[in-house]
Amino acid sequence: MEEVKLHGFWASPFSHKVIWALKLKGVEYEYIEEDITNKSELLLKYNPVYKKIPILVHGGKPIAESTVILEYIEETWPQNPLLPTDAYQKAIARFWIQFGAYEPYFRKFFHASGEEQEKAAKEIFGMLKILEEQGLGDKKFFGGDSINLVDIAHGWLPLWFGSIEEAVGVKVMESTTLPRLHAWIQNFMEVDVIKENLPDREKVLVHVKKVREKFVANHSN
Amino acid sequence: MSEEVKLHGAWASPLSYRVIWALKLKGIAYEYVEEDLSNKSALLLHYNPIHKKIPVLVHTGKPICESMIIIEYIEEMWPHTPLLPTDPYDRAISRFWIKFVEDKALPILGRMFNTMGGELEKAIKESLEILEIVEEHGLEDNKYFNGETIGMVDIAFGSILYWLGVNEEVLGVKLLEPHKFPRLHEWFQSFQEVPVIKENLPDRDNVVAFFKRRRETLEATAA
Repeated sequence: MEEVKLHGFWASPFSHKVIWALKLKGVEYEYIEEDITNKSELLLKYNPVYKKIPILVHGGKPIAESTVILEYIEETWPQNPLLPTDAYQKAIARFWIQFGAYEPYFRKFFHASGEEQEKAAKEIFGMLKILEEQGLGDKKFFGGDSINLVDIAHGWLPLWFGSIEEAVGVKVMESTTLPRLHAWIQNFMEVDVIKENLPDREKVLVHVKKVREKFVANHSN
Repeated sequence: MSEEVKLHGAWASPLSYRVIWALKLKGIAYEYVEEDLSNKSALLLHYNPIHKKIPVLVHTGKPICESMIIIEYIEEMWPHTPLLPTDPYDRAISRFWIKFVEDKALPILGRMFNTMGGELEKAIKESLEILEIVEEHGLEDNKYFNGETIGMVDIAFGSILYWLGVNEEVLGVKLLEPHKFPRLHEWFQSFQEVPVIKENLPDRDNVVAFFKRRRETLEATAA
């Protein structure tokens, strides 16, 4: 079997998505922690376009971008499938994986304040409402009875978006207004592979606060 | 097996054409439904209630949204004339570039079209940087992104470059200069010569006129 290595960063949700997928499929890998404030030659060689983690290296060949890595993992190690086998259901899953991903309002929410932040919070709420009502519906997980790539895609919400909410002092994911999402969060965080592969929440909060302070400092002139 | 395939699209949309190209390359019979985006049909809103956008592919009554997700579906349902490599690593590289096109290249069109003055200059500068990345890292020495024949990455990026050309005409600027982007330029020339592409492009004069009118309206309201 060819060597699998994952270059990641302890506080990155994207890093963790790849860890979860590898663990769910029982794939052995070597984890390499990258200092993203001082990027290694290897990182820059493996991902010249974005210069970011995570990067999966399989048999010496690098793959960047977490969603691309996850599709590769799914195709290369078909055990414990994390996408539906039916082509139509797969298309629906890919729709929900993409939904709400990398939207500008997340950055605005994190970086802005006052009215701009309020507007971003409303947009995030709107997106999450659609996600819980139409994406999740009455299911326990997006994947049905067990988690799949859609759950993993939104798996950054509980701990990471939760930390952002704490750091900025604005709560969007309320159990009263987003009850299904709230239930999903409880269930998701109980899944063994997830539970056992999360960074320390307090450490992430400190990290997130630092990142926010730095941004505010750089942009306050 | 005659399974109903319908494509809801818009004649001036690059994303619409991506799906047309994929269907035509695979010789899949389909019914085309033109949508008036200024007056969206009840059917479109029913098929794509969340984003309310085209293209939407409807196969045996079931709708699929988002152009590249549609093409992944087409690729799986009709595997002949493959638009992705067979090797999983090569497929990952293709998907990497498809994502790059969606995240970085596609927004170029809107950013350029919707800005003026200093902001437009900034948008152009950023667009050139994006083209530079593809020129340097994307093509390698292949005729097409997919190798000897065109595939999903070519389709994704080709639609952007064609509409970039439209933008260039409307705005009176030139970005894709052959001496600056020799590989991209050569690839794009070859791409446009592929019969399915050549025979399935909007009327150039019409599409330029369409966007010119929109741009004039934008400039008038900004003044």
